[in-house]
Amino acid sequence: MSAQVLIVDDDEGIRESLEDILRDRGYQVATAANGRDALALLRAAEVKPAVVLLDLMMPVMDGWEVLDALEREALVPRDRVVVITAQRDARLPDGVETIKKPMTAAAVIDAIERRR
Amino acid sequence: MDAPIPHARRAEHVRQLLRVTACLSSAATEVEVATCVLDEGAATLGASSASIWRVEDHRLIVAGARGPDLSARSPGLDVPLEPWVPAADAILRREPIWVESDDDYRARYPRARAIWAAPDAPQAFVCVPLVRGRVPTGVIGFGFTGPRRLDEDERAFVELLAQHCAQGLERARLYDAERVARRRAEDGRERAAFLARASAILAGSLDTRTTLDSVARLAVPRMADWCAIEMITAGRDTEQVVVAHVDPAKAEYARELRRRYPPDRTHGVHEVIRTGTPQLVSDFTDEMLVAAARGDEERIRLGRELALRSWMIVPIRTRDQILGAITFVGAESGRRYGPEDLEMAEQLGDRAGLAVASARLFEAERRARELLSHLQAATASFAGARTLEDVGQLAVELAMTVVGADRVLVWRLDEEHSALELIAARGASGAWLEAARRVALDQPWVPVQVARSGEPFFSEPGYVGAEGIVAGSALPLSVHGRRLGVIGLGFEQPRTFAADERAFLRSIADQCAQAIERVQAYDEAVRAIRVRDDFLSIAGHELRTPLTALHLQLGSALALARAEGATPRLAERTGKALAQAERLARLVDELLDVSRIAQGRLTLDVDELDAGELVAETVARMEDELRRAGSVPRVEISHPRGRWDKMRLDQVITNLLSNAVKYGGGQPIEISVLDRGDRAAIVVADHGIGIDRAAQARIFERFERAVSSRHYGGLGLGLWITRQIVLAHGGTISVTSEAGHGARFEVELPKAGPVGAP
Repeated sequence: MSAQVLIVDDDEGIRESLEDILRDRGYQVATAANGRDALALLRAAEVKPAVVLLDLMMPVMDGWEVLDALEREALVPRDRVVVITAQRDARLPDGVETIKKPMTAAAVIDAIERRR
Repeated sequence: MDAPIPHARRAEHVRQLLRVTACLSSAATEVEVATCVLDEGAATLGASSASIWRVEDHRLIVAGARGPDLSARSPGLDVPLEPWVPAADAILRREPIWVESDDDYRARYPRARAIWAAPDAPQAFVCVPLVRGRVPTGVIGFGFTGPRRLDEDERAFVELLAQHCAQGLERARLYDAERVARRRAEDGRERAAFLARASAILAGSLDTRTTLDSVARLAVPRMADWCAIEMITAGRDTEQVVVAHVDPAKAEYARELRRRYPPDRTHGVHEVIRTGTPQLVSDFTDEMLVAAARGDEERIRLGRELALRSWMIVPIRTRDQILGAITFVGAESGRRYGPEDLEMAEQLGDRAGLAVASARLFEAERRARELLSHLQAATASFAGARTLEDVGQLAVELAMTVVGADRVLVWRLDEEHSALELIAARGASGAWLEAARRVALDQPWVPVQVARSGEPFFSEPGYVGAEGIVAGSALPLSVHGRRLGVIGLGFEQPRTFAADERAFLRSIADQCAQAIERVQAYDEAVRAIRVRDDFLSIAGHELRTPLTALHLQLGSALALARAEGATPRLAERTGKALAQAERLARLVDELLDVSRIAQGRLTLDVDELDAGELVAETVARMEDELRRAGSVPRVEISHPRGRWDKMRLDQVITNLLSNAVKYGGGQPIEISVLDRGDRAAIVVADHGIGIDRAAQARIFERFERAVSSRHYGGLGLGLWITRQIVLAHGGTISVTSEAGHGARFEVELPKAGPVGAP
């Protein structure tokens, strides 16, 4: 079975584009528009992603809170989360990889490939 | 017929006359003359009384007398020059009167006899007129207690004696007149010398205080034991400005007296100042002191301490104005002032007035110069003020230091023109200040009236403002009729506003108003720029997200087109679409950079880098672009290492290369990286259209370009952003170029990285 990727981003265009690219590459993709939806999916064990692509600035629940919850609830290990953000100096826990927006497809795929 | 006069008696008469002559020859005064004549005459004639009378103003006045007669008992007695008075009758008749007995007296002068009846009044007498030229000037008389008839010889003697007497008196009068004239001349010379010296000294002092000190020093001790000068101050008040005393310790008593008992509004100094009429008190007695003190023991004590004996008060005046008064006091020295002293004092007062007027004129001129220099400084200060508060504070500062205001408030008219808003204040506090912070324009208050009318206000003497303010001014702040606010000044001491001060204050108000307008316009511009930058930032972020999605989609479409062997044209077109999306993304990034830099949010992410490597990478990435433009890159690279932001430095190199491609006219482009010790240099030179000298200064500004935007696209932000990045690194960027001969851009960066970077 192919690896699953959870995309958490409030922008539909970004979610769709990443989803298209990853599906083309044969990944299973789940998406969430904010942190709360993402955590709901993970807690319900509906998805068991190999990699979480996480936006930071989102309504309802932002990326930092998601990182905290993942850690606290041991839902996804820290090294399986890739933060995608437009912020240049976001403070993040050690060991969380960051890709800066605007990102290229190649950078995202590379980050996922390294975690398989 | 009279009995013949014995020879012996005649000889005696001649001897007597010789004695009188001898005596008179050394008699210099009227008294000495009278003494000779009366003593010798009375002795010779055996008269019981003798007197000399002087004609003065249709009366006879006793000039000298002997014996028990009324004239002797009452020196200075005068009687009317009328025929019923025997002595007067002799003068009117111009011939001697011989009254030989009481009966004779009663018969000829009944009225005189009745008035002057006394037990020892003479019963017989003789009155002989004293004549100078043909004018009777007096009369000499001898009285006898019993009846007496003078024989011819005796009569001749008396008449001769009268002639001698008249001559003696005339000589004494001339002598006296001469002596008085001489003394007058001497006094006059001395006074003239004194006044000349006073004029010279006073002319030399150019400030009022020094002038008045000089006046007092001149007066003491030459004219007075002490001297006080009272000057009119602002309004209707006066102030004692100088006290000089022969004994400095006593000057304090004088000041104390003035402090405790300020001069009466209607008397003394004030009266002189009001009327301009000098006052003279020749003899001030202890009784007068006690009366003036009205039972105040302390006042009596102080007054006695000062030992006042005599004084005079004269005005200090110019031709058209009274400025004050000088009091001259005679005390310890026992001097008593007379009319001549007063005249001298008045002259000194006039000279003092002239000197004070000149000093004031000089001071006014100096003050005008001072105001002018303050005004010049103010212009510069106002030009430098950036905020309304700065402008307000400056106006406050000026009003306080230059015109000595105790309270200054500066209001701005609010945007709705409905109230005054305080922008700066000093010298006000508490509830009053709180109330002044915002003042509605319908309140009946001076600053409000000035704001409404646009007419300046300057208080008149007697003004009473709030919180101990007794003089004030309010000036409109307006520019070309646009009302902007008001400045209000309050003073705790009464004062008036001289013309030059009014002009100064109005000028300050005008400058303040201009500064307020400028600052408000500046604030508005800053606000507009901020709104624009905020908009750019929001718009940029909003555009970038879909652009990122678009870029991802086109990227994946391109990959699909290539992988699945679709028509080559689809891959080509997709590739072109992707390139356009990338271009659009760069433009959006430029806008975002502009707003970021304008808002001071350009943060650098510094790492250790190799500049040569970075330039090589960028050139490689832009190879397609360079080739398309036909510009062959000639790269000469060394490898300086430093602490820089990789992405931002990449942006700098990319921008410079893009410009070189854009304006390089397809000519080769030289790119070099140089190691210059603690600095690294990146140089990009093309051989294209170049930049003319005038444009070189502008190209690093926002939205500027050296060429028309019709021929060359772009936002005109590239070089501005480039320069901002270089500056943020602590580096420099420069251009050397000539129109038509290409351009050479050089960036130099410190290897240590930006100042303050970790």
